[in-house]
Amino acid sequence: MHFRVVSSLLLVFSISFFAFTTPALAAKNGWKNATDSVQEIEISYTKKSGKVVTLKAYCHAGEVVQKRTRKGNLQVRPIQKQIKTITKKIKQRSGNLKKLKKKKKANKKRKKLGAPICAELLNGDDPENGEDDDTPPTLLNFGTYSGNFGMREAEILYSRFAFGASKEELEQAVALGLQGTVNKLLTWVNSPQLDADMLDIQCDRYLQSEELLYDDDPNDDNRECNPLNPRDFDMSGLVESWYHAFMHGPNPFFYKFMTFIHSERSAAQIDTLPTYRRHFARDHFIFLQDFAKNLDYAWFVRNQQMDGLVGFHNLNLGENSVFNPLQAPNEDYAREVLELTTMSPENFAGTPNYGPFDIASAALSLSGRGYNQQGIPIGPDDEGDMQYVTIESPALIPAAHISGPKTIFLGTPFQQTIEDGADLADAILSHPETYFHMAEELITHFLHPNPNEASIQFIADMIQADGGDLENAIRTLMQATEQYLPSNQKTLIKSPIDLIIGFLRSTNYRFSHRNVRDRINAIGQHLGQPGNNPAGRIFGWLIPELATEPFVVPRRNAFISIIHTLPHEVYEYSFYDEFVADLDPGALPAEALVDSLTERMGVRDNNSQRDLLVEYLNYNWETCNGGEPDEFGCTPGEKFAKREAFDPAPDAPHHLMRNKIRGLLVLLATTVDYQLK
Amino acid sequence: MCRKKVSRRNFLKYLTYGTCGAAIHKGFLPGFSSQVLAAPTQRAAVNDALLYVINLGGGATYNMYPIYHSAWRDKNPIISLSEAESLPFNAEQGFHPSLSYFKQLFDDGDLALINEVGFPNDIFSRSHSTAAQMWMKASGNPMGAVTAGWMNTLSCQMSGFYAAVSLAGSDPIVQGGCPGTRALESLSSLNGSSFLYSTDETTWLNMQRTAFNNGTSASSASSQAAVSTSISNMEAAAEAIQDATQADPPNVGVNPPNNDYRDAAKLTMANNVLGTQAFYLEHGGFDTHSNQRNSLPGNLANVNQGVRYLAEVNKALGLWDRTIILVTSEFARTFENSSQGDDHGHIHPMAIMGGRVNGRQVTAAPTNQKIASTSGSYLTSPAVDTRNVIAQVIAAMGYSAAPVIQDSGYDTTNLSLFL
Repeated sequence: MHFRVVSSLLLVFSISFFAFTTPALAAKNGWKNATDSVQEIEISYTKKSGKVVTLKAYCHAGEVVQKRTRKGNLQVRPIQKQIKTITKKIKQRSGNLKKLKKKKKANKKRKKLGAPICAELLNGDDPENGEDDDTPPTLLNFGTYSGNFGMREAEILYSRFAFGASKEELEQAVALGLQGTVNKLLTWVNSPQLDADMLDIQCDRYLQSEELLYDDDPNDDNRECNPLNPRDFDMSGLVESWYHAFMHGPNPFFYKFMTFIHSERSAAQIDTLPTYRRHFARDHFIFLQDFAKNLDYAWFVRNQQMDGLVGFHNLNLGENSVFNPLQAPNEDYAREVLELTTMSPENFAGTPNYGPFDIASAALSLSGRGYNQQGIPIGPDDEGDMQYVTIESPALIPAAHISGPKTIFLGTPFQQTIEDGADLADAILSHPETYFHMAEELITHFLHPNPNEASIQFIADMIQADGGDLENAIRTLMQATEQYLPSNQKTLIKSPIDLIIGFLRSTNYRFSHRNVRDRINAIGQHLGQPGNNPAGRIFGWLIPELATEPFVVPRRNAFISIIHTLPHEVYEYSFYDEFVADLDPGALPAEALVDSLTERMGVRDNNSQRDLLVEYLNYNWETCNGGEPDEFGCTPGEKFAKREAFDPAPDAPHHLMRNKIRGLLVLLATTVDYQLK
Repeated sequence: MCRKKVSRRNFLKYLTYGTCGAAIHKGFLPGFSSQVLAAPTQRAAVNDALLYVINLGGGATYNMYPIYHSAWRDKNPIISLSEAESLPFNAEQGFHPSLSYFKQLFDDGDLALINEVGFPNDIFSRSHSTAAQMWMKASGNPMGAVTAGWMNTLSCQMSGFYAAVSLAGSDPIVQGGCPGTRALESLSSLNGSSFLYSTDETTWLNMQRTAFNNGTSASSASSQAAVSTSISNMEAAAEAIQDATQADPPNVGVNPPNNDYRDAAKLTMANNVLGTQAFYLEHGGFDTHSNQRNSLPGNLANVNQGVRYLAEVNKALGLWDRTIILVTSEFARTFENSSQGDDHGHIHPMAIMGGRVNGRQVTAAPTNQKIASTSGSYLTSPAVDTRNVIAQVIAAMGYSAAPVIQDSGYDTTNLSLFL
């Protein structure tokens, strides 16, 4: 009994010891949660034998570190700690001495050769690694962010996953916290009114409510469309209806995801559709929305084979028949489905994922597709006779299928025998590169421009384990510590859609969907059109390209154009109500407005930059004349900055309040920072 | 230090040009205008050629330069053209009827047609992305050591502040670390709108924004560096370029098919100020997987009009003998498919035009026997290496091809393209 009591006491003591000292132990061992990006570098050295040795190392906050993951959190410690641990083991002769010495030597090399590289990275320079001067990739921290979730963090989340957010949305997000906001973003909300508005716009490009505003507008075309007629809609209105949803809809993440898939995987061309196939355009956008709603990548891979617009029309899946005179199935879709929409031509190491034989096999498996032409009843005419309209729909034609076994991914560990398109989809979905490619695109689109291979593989494995379901992966990206690290801010470039829609959402500015389309087109992006990728427009949109020199002035012009178009008075949009009314009355008005807008728009500013913005609000650029030389000390006839302070009164003259706010909005929207997220 | 980001995986996703330019190129500091205007007297006048590269994106079909051999007609029953339907220049080949100006230049001895151009059989690609990279970098290994476009690397040998210009955006052909290469959408895109229709308001806004951007701390993020550089470069260059390209090109009786050609002509006229010697333009719509007979005439008519415009303007300016126009594509097309179109092929024709060009059919059209004996759906085994053509064009301009084309071991047979 005495022994058991002692034993119990020892047990309690032991538990207590570890409960109170484990964090201390961790700190003593040097491990701590990473507070900055961890970049993966390669260092090389030549041994006396002449053999070149290449080692991976990791940099954190300017130091060479060892890294590990504990409970999902990325932890680091100076590599010197590990060297010390190994040295101790060598002295104690604990373990395989040869391996320990080798490990110690390698870590000392890492420390010696990696230290200057890590220091350069901290200084913001790209180090030269021999001939390869790529910026080192980053080992991403996927641990759930546990820091403060304030307005800044909410703005980061919304700008990356939802175009941007209004002040109310940001405040709501802060109240909900990170998890609550992520849940909200990932929950689809039905909106029958929005659906009705979209159909209205698709019909004649105008909302019914707008048509009442423009009674004297010669372009007004108040039309009723026949809901029974799938061809009865306006193609421009179709695109504009989606911009309307992006601007006003309650599901910003899902719309953002649609644009991601549209840019990366499903570039389409709607303006070449003949009349009897024009409904393919409408169906295609619904297809993208359905994918966004279910986030099921396997569903996407399987169902894209029946997408009329991209598959059948743009990529000629509809011409894939055994009856063609040249007995050669059309390889167009087969090539693009592997190159573009699933796995891409090469893996991370540059090894081809498939070859010409696989493309040919895929084309054979996809044979037996065509179009089903039918007459659709659309209601009786004035004399009571039923009217019909002809449409074509994608169809499977078994008699046109080239039957027999085909081999896909020949000579690889993923080789399979397939018969038809369904088998092809299964084979694609059993190939790990399918998930790797999607993971890479998700990360570079939503989290970080330069992930290392291990980070991509982590997300790829998650998606594959989930059977292609993307929700967990996206949730992980939204909640990742990496998302909120200072070093990972403003590392992604906004697309034209991000810029314009984001600006309008964050400012609640009333701008028509028709004008939105014109502005986005003017800065290089077109929903429903092939992209700008020089390798082939079918590859979709190269977003960084759209932020290069050719687009600097057009982007400025786009924002000036938006701000020049004042919202119609029926919307009762007030610059005062939107931007000034809630400012802290105890603060200086210009300073308060600057702080409010920079926070809302996610523009970072230091003290000097803040002063510049305040100066913009409190001064005007004018020619010195009249009594101004005496009053302001300016030189007659020359330009000078004249003090005319921002006036926060609701009835202030336009040139002291409304116009200054408009100018500040344009100024902020055209800074370097605002082009990034 | 240059912040350029090109990795094997991300070459399509990152900006590469201009990021070095801002750091080391004097031309984009304040005072750019005066430096540019001072430049001409100091600029070397030896190499004065003007190169226009016109890319037919998506792969140019051989039916642009129709082949009359029976085997070709058999394998392309609907989309091939007969002698009666086209503009023959000999018994085996001709020009598409939409390329009437090409035929005129050929008859004048100013157009050289090179048949069967491509990369060797063991390295070619029929992938849009890979093939485009290969020809734009003039390399059989575009994912390896060669990271810059060949026009960008060429511009490093030129002395103009705006030595090479892409009027088709930032294509890989102009991407790289040489500072004299720039991408424009159009000259008109340089016109900034006036805020509140007031010069003073606009000036004040621009001044404060520029000062704000200058106050943004440098970041290791390549994206921020690239955006920042783009903005500062454009601010410095826009006014100077607009000033230099005020004058309209001469009226030559033909309109440019689009603004790109007009802009190319204006930049040509401003050559003595901006120093532009290389121009890149693009035409889309050549990825003709179906209904080729419907789409090709209109697309080729645009190309024909563009070439005619450039040539006639340069002739009017007395620049024809300095002009080299290269019409090409990243690959050719297959024989006819089941959709009355064709798919991605391998070897393709190239046309070179200019006052110093040794105009003729440089290499014969694919022979009847070769076409008939081809078991696959496309011709292969090029007679001329793509890199060789580019190398000879560079040499004709008076520059060295070796730094531009870093591959070794490619066929360098002299094609005698120039007089």
